[in-house]
Amino acid sequence: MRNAVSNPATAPAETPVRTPSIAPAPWPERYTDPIHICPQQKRELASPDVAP
Amino acid sequence: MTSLACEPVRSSWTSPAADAAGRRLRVFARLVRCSGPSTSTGAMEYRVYAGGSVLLCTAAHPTYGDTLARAAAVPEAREALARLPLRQGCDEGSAVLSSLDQISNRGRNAEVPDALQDLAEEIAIDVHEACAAFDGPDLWYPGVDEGIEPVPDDHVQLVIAALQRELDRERRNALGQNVEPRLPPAPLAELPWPVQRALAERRRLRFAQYGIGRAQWQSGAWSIWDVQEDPDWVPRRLAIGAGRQTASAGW
Repeated sequence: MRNAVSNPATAPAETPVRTPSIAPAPWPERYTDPIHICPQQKRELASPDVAP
Repeated sequence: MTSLACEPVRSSWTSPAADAAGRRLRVFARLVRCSGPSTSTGAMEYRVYAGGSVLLCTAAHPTYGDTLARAAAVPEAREALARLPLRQGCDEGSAVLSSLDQISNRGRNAEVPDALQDLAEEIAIDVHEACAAFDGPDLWYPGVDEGIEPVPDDHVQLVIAALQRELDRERRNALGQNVEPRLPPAPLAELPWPVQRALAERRRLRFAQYGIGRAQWQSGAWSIWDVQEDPDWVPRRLAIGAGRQTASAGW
């Protein structure tokens, strides 16, 4: 069993602080997926008022 | 794969099966409907309509493949399908936009006609694929090097603004349902610039595949005879429905 009392002559080892990494959610969890909009809205998405 | 060419022309304007092949034939199927022999007039003929006008008359119930071939050969029918309106749902004043300050999501903007639903779906899939860059900025999302005129930077910005205008209009939840909690629209201008550019290039290519370039855009008319025939082509949404990756799906 390790001695729980640290040796004062020895600098305490630094334990790296690890912040839990939060991976960004996949984008469909954050934004509306364009393939889910309705057929008419997709026809508007094509935007024929703007040149190809 | 469903054979649309051999399918009898339906009595109403309906969507072709998702796996029905043929780019031009799919457009044609959305343009025409067929009425059976009239018992009141005694005319024993089938009439194929495009819009409100009779396109062709035949003695037997025609198939989509036969009807398209006949329409190509009959001058009046060919002409009727050579000048179709490019826009619907808008007035002439808002039909053509050419600068960023004209972009607004107030009111309603032009949409492509129902017959070009496949084109609209393809563009929506291109936007969907571009949005993967929100999770991986190094996303491989190729643009288009050949077959289209180069797209200037200011036109890329205009296209992105136009797409954003429409994404801002309809929000869904993470499952694609039209219920709360609805998610915000994808901020397309925050995509890496190469992805924005590639998206604008793909959109130009998509329109070109349906025979629509600058001249057609300016005139507001398109021709089914300029739509690429592509007899084996099926929509990419079929691949999405099957849960397959679409990032490298064929053009």
